[in-house]
Amino acid sequence: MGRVQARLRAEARTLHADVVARGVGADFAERGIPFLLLRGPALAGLRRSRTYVDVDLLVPPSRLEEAELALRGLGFAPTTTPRDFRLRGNPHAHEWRRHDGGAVDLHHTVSGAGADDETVWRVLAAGAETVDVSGTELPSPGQAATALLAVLHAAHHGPRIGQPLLDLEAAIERLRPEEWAETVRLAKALDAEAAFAAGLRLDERGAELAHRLGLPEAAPGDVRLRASDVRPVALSLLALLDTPGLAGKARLILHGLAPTPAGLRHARRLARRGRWGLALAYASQPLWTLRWALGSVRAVRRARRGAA
Amino acid sequence: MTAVIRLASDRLEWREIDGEIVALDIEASKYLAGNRTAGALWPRLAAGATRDELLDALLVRFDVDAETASRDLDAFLRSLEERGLIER
Repeated sequence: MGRVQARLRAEARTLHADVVARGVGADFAERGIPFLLLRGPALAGLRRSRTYVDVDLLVPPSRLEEAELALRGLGFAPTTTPRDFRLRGNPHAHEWRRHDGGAVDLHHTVSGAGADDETVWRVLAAGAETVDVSGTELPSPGQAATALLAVLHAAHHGPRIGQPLLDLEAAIERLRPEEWAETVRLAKALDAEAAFAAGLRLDERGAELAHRLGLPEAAPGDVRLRASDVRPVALSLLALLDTPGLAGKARLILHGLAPTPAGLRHARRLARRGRWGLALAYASQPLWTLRWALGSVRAVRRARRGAA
Repeated sequence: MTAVIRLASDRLEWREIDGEIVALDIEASKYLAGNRTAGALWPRLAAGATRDELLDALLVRFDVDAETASRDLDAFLRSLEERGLIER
């Protein structure tokens, strides 16, 4: 596919995501469910040419079930269950998909935040603004919070995923010093300073900024691992080491070797290639796990040594 | 030709990217991409325009003779009509 064609395809997906955001936003508004649109169009304020494929919505924890019901009513279904995340730590969102390809990540919190879900909602909703989504104004966090979320997203995906790094770079480029002070205040309120610092340090100028802002060097093991060139099963290995008791560890190992289909599709590209791809992924899962586990030992040791 | 032609706005979302058009047929869940010719016509179709106005727009914008422009325009309108994306 040529560059122009690829660009137009990406723009078409963005258009589709905007249509989904407006439809879901209108439905939530009608039901009185408060929400904030994270990333996507909100980040387009930082990086104009940004395209996106899904919609990230944060809702207050007390309204999460209602939001899920609303999504079901609109034809969406969850692609993962809490069991799929047993080995990768508590998820901050669940993906919902519809037959037309529309995708919503329904957040009850944001990655890197240690504060409880209610606090996360309260802090981000307090500075809410609106963002233009193809002609419709939808609520989203303010500029400082959006920059914070861009940094936390980069910290979550580490140095191997391109788009969050470009968002991080744009945030560093665009935000004024006084806005960074506000971002630090928000990071403290969300108990996300460690992930915020780790995210900033993925960029050379961000590392200088983290130093100037006096952000902590130490970070929990999972934060360090995510922000490093993490192996696919390194987080699972860390979870295994941190799980007390032999029975708990055995359950995790069993789950790692035989995950649910949704969990396997989430973790491995091969499993997303139809029935045969899924079957092959299951057949090769023990070897795949062993291979990546061996490669992850050093990274996990390093992360645990440097943990706060 | 004085009949006004317009896009079926209730089933189409679109945007212009560097003079080209990206559109989403919401009912069919299909993407459409249009070249610069479509880029010249699309905003006029969104607002509503006659065939003569559309033809004029092509002749002003591109170095093309009236016969070729007319043929291209009809083919373009036919392809949209077949998809139910324009109303007359």
